[in-house]
Amino acid sequence: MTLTTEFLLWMAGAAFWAISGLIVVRYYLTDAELAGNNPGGGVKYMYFAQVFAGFAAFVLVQASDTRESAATAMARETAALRALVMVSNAGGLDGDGRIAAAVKHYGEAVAADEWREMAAGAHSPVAERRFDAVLRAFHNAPASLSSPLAAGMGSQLAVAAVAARNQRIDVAAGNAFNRMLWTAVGALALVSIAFNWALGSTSVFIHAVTTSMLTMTTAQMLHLAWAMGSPFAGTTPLSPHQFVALPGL
Amino acid sequence: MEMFASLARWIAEQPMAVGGTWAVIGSAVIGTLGALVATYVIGPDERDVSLTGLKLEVLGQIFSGLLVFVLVHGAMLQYDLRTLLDLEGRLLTGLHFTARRADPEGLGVLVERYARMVVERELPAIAGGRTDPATQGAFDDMLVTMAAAAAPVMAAADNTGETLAQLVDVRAKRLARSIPDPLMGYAWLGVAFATATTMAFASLVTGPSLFIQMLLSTMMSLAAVTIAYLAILMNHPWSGDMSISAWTIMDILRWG
Repeated sequence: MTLTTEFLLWMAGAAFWAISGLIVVRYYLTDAELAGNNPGGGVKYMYFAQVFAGFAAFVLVQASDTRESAATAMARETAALRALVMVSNAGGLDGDGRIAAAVKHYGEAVAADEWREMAAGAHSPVAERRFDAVLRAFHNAPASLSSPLAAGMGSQLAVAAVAARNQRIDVAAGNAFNRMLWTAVGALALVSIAFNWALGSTSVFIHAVTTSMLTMTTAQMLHLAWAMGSPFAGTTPLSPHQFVALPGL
Repeated sequence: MEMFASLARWIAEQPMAVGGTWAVIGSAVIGTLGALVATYVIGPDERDVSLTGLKLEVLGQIFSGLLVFVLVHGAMLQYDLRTLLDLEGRLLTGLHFTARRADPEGLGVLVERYARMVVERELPAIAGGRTDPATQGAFDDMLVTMAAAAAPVMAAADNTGETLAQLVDVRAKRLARSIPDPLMGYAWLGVAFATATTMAFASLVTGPSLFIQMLLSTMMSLAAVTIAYLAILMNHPWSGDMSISAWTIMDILRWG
């Protein structure tokens, strides 16, 4: 499914939610009862919407930060591993090609196995073992007398790769706070639209149009937050192409 | 969604005077059209001004949440990239000093070549949403040559290895933050949709004076469009009049 298809489905779902409740409310309430609800209900709705909008903005920023953290961690990890291969080779630390081969195998395991695991919030034991193999290959490399700079730099790059890998896995795992956040913002969005059912003008058409547009605007924001907050799953996951492109033998 | 991302990039690339003029003209056109359509196509009996006005307020609050997000995103992007560029410039300057002392014709030239390619090739490419493999190649050459340099040559600075490793990290972060996320196209779609919805609601809230309503709708539209325009500029830090300058890296070329 593409992002556009998912977007259209979300919009259709939003319109269905808006219209279905509206039909039920208008069936049971007379025009006079609807009009009587409007002043008091309207004030409460405005208060509710202010609270909801602030919370939704926070969720959007949080979701965006999650995606950017994941993308940055990936870029840092692959850049460090790529540089590790080049520096080890240039500094004479990888004469037998073990470091390059280990990095290549690790990149393949991340792309083939770990990406799938991360979509479910886990990490791959296969990729973990291969990452350990990269570190062992570097630590067991013969000391380079001609270029001590390469050894020192290689250590720094290996440490950077470890930190970036941990950050990537941490972002994928999420936490209980995230679940609480999504539950709260989802429930608030549904209630926010439910307010509209009871706030109707005499014209059914205008009532339906205004409710649907408000619902779709809210749904679009939520969908954007959901897409950004799930960097390894859904229709717009981050691509593991940087891991596939890691240099090797 | 790519269409909205490209449209936002195109808007950011235009000079601010042109963009600002179009924001004002566009707002006036939208505000006027909305008021005219609501007055002449949808009759007064079909509208409930007080209730629709209330929903307009609610819509404004929800829209403000989206605008806060794109503004905060743009501000954080600008801040992060300025910080990263400053750090990269400082690391590169230190490396340049070391390279000039150790081997001005070899290592020094490699550092200068990388700095020149960042300024002249990579930043313009990034502004267009692409990376530049040639600049990455220049960076790799610099890295490999320094790593392979003989011990006496690089003895001038003990921390060169650490500096290079930090440079790899900072450069990776800068590139990751610089290339726009395709999902931002979706955010711009949301801003456009919310702006259109706001104008539709505003058009339904009319009064006895058509002129006053056209004026009010225009001002409302101007507020939404101006903030959206500012957010677009802030989210494209390498394009247009608000773009970030790579002074810290350009300094290396001046000294070199």
